[in-house]
Parts: sequence; C-alpha cells; structure tokens
Amino acid sequence: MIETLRNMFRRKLRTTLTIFGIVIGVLALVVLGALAEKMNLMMKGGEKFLTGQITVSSGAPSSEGGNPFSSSGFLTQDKIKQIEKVDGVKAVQAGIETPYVDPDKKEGSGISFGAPPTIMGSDLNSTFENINWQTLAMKNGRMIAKGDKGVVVIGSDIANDKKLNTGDTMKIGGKDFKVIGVMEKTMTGPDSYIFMDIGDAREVLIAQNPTLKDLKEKSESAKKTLADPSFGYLTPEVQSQIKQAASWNDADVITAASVSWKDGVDPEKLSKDIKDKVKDVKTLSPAEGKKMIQSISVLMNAVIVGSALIALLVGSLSVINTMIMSVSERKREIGVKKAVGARDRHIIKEYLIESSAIGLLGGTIGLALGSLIVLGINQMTAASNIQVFEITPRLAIGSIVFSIALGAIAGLYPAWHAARINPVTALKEE
Amino acid sequence: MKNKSNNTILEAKNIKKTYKLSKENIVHALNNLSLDIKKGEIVAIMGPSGSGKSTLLNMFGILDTPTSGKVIIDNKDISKEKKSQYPLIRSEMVGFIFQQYNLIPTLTVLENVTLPLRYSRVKKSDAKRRALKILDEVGMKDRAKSKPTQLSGGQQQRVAIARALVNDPAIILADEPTGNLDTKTGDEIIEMMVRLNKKTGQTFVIVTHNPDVTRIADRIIHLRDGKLEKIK
Repeated sequence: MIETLRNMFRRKLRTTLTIFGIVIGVLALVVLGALAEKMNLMMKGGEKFLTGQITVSSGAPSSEGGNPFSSSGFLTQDKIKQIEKVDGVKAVQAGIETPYVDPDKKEGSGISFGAPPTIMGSDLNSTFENINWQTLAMKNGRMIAKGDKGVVVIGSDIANDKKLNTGDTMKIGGKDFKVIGVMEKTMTGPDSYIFMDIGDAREVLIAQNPTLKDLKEKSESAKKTLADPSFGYLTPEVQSQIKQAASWNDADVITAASVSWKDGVDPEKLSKDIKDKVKDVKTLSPAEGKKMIQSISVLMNAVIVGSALIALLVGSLSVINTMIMSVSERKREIGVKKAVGARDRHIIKEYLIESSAIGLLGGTIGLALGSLIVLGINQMTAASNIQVFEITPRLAIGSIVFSIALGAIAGLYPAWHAARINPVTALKEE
Repeated sequence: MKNKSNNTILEAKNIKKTYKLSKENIVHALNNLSLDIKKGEIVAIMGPSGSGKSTLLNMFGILDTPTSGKVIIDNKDISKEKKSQYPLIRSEMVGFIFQQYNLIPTLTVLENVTLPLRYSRVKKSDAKRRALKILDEVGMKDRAKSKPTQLSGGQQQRVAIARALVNDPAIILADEPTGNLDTKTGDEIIEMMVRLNKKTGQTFVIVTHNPDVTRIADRIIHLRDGKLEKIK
C-alpha cells in the first residue's frame, strides 16, 4: 500500500487540493454534527423525562365566551382530584411552570444555550415520582421536600451564571429565597431550572401576570365585601358579580399535572382514560412525548447534518475529478500492467484503494481540525458554563467511515474506466 | 506432416486480422499468415511500417485475437481459452520488452521486476528471491532499490528484460528494444539477450529495424502487407 501513497503524491499540489476539499467537508460535518449531538443529548434528557410520566394540562379553549373569571388555561384543584380518581392512577402532582425573570439581566442580553431559566413549582405533598427521573444528582445541599417553603434548589447553569451556592440568598419576583441545594450538571433542561414549592411558584407567577394579578386583587376585595354587612344592600346584579369574583381561588392556578401509574397499568391506555373521564384536559402520554421529541430531533438533525453532507459531497466531486485525471495520465502504465498479467480486478482494486486513501486522509485531517475548533470554542464558553458542542464517539467514527466510503464511491467510476483500458491502444500512445 | 510438437514453442496458423474502418475501407493487417518458431530460437521480424509487425506481435502476446486462424503457444491453443483468462496466460507464457522500457516510475527496480509475479499469486518471499536472481543476471542487482528515473536508458532496459524473464515465460517478445538507445548501449542489450538465450534457452522474437539484431538472429522474417515476404 506504500505504492498507493507514492502514487497519490505524484502530483503533490493536485492531491493536496483534493484532500483539502474532503477536509473542509469533514470539518463541516464534525462541527455541525457536534452541535447536533449536543442538542440530541438535551433532547434525550427531555425524552427521558416525558416518557417517565403522563403530563396533563388544560385543554379548555383560551377564551370561553369571553368569561374573564374562568381560569381556563389552568388546571383547577377540582380537576386534580378528578384525575386522582381515575382507575390506574398512582399519584398526581400539581405543578406550576413559569419563566424566571432575571432582575440583573437586561432584555435580550446573556443568551444561554439550552433551556431558558424556568421556575418549577411542585406540590411537595404529593407522592408522585417520575419513573425515569427519580433522583437528581445533587452537587451539594439537598433536593426540596415536603414542608419546604421559601427555599429553592437550583440547576447548575443557574448556579454558575448567578454565582450562587447552597446557603446563599436568591431574589425571585422581589422576594428572597434561600438556596438549599445545587444540582449536578445534567446537560439538559434541569440545568436551568429553579425548583420550589408550588405555593411560592404561584405567587411569583401571579405577580408576573397582570390578568391573574388583577383577578386575585378583585377576588380578595370581593371576599372582604362579601363578609361586610353592607353586602346585603347591594343590588342582586352587583351581588352576583361580587360572588363570582370571590369564587376565583388562586389555588386553582395550576399549569400542569404530572401523573404516575400503578404497576402493571398501561400508561398509554391510562392517558386516554384520563382524557375521556376528565373534561377539558390534554394529556401527553410517554409514547406521545417520545414521538414529539423524536420528530423535533429528526428535523433538527436532518437540517444540520444535511448541510454538512452537502459540503462533503462537493468535496467528493473533486476526488472523482482527480482520479479521472490520474487514470488518463497513467494510461500507458495501466497498459503495461495488463500486459504483464493484471486482470481488471487488480486495476480496479488499485484505484479504489487510492481514492479511499484520499478519503481517509481527508477525513482524519478534517476530524482533527474539527475537533480542535470544537474544543477551542468549548474552552472559551466553559467560563460561562456553556458547552455548545459534543463530539460523540459515533460522530468521530462515523466521519472517518463516511469519508473513506465517499472516497471509495468517488473512485468507482474512474477505477472501472481504468480497467476498461485496452493494453494495445494504451501502449501505442506516445 | 512434420512432427512439430516438442520443439515448436510458437505457432501461427493461417492468421487473418482485418479492421473494418468503414463500409468501403477494410484494412487487412495480417493476411493468412503462418509461421513456426522453435524453442531457443532468436527470430527477428522486419518490415516497413504498416506491414503488420506490431499486429503480429500483439497476436503472439495474447494482447489481441486474430479475426481467423489460431495462435498456439507451447502447445496451448489460445483460441480455446476464455478471454478472461488471457492476462493470466500472458503473465505465465509471455514476457514483453518495449522500445520505451515502460517501467512503473513509482516502483523501485525490484518492485518493477516482481510486478508480473504480483499478478500471478507467487508468494512474496519467492518473488523477491527470483527477482534478485534475475537482476543479478542482467547486472542490476545493486540498484534494486533505485527508481527508474535514477537510471540510464540502457539500465532501464536491462530491468525491463529482467521483468520479462522473471516468470520464466515460453517466449519473450521484444518490440524495437534498442530503438531508444545509442549504438553502444543497444549492442550491450543485444549481447545480453544472446547470452541469456544461450544460458537459459529462452526464445526471443524481436521486431526490429536494427541490422545488429539481424546479425545475431537465427532467422529473419520479413513482412509486407500482412504477408510473409521471405525468411532467411
């Protein structure tokens, strides 16, 4: 195979340029592929989470005949109770998810790669457990548990970004919260989450949402009015309005519920049952969750990796070109080889090995350069605890294998063409 | 009918080769040619251009097939063999020497000489041994690791001769072997072929214009218009 290398570098500049074409293609594949792989990792985390529970949210249309008092868009306590009653349900946990508005950050600055910082409030009295996320590894401190109030557990990205650790105080929605635990890096969603009791989360949500804030204030003043003796003197119309306002209960503000199922129960069927038995709810079963993540994942991978593959394909065109040129230049040699006994398959093998070697060389250099770039960028962003790229073993091996295969395929036509050369005509040529 | 079997190494029987260039233009490159060559002979083939010398050599070398007629090498009727087998038969039965030496420039002298053996599945160690022995015969053993570009014309042709001999073929076909060499070097090459012929009994068929070749040849065959003109 040394002959292959010698042959390749007969035309040093030409071969170098051809290899360079492959290098660029593989470089693009490695860098963009690493981006996609990082996203795949995050998606995997999300998939793990969604397949470990049934997620229930409100299915009511957002405006029911313009009734300003309906808590549509939210699950009510009543709905939670109904879900609990469905046969097969093991536990239900009410939850509130709301964006964390960072008082230190101006609008649009500090783009964090990954999920945006989110407050995850959960009903700590519930016995619910996601079958895939039963324990989240803690860096220090402990996870929130039943009875905790006014405290938070933060994900590793939050901790790094705001330089917080267990024991520090964090300001959320104007209130002070004590950090009782910091999580280990999960490379996915939880890194940007702030876990707290549902009641605390609810307060933050209502304070951030003008409509809810308004409803709460009206409800509170309505309750006061109801208790006041002067209530009886109001008109029936006004009385009914006040009753309605007072009926709004902030405990009915629940953004989603997590449902676990009893042993032996089919979660897909249970998901359907919940939808049938409880009015106006949407459910996301494990299979549905998986499908949703996978369709996003497939699309994303296709776009990212597809563009890299196009670059690589273009590189392979230059391999075909180079090989055709070298076959035509070495026509006489091929004639000689055939004259001394080379069969077609010998000639084809020689040229296929050469084109595969070009692919291999280009792939190796491309992988090395791509890895350097990726490592460099990861180093730079490591300070902000962001890792944008992930070179997985399958990406590295895949790039090399693919570039060898591409070289081989590119060499097929030129090799076949070389094998077809007639030794008599080849040897006659000057 | 003369008993030809043992001594005849190469037989051409009523060879015809025609090329149809167009409807009216038919070229008879070889026109009913018959010829015997005995083992150990040095035969020179001469003739003007277009006489069919190269075409005849291609027939002997199994690089081309006659339109009609037979070529028999070492009692093997080539027309009875499968076309896919030609390269293998060629590598075993025929050695080539060209005017332009035709050594592979990226291979060393040794690798060039072992080239035919590479295609006939001889073990690498045996191939090397045989090649070095032959290189010694032609006086090029000490240049085994050199590349053709580092050699003179005469030296390259000696390597080419070694390559032609390495598989111990039935016949050696040489197409103007001294054509690119000066007189002195050309004479050295001719002398070498004679010496090898005497030592190993190797049969040589040499297409040539060089009168020095005709002097040492056992027989001279003249071709004109695809036919034998005279045999000396």
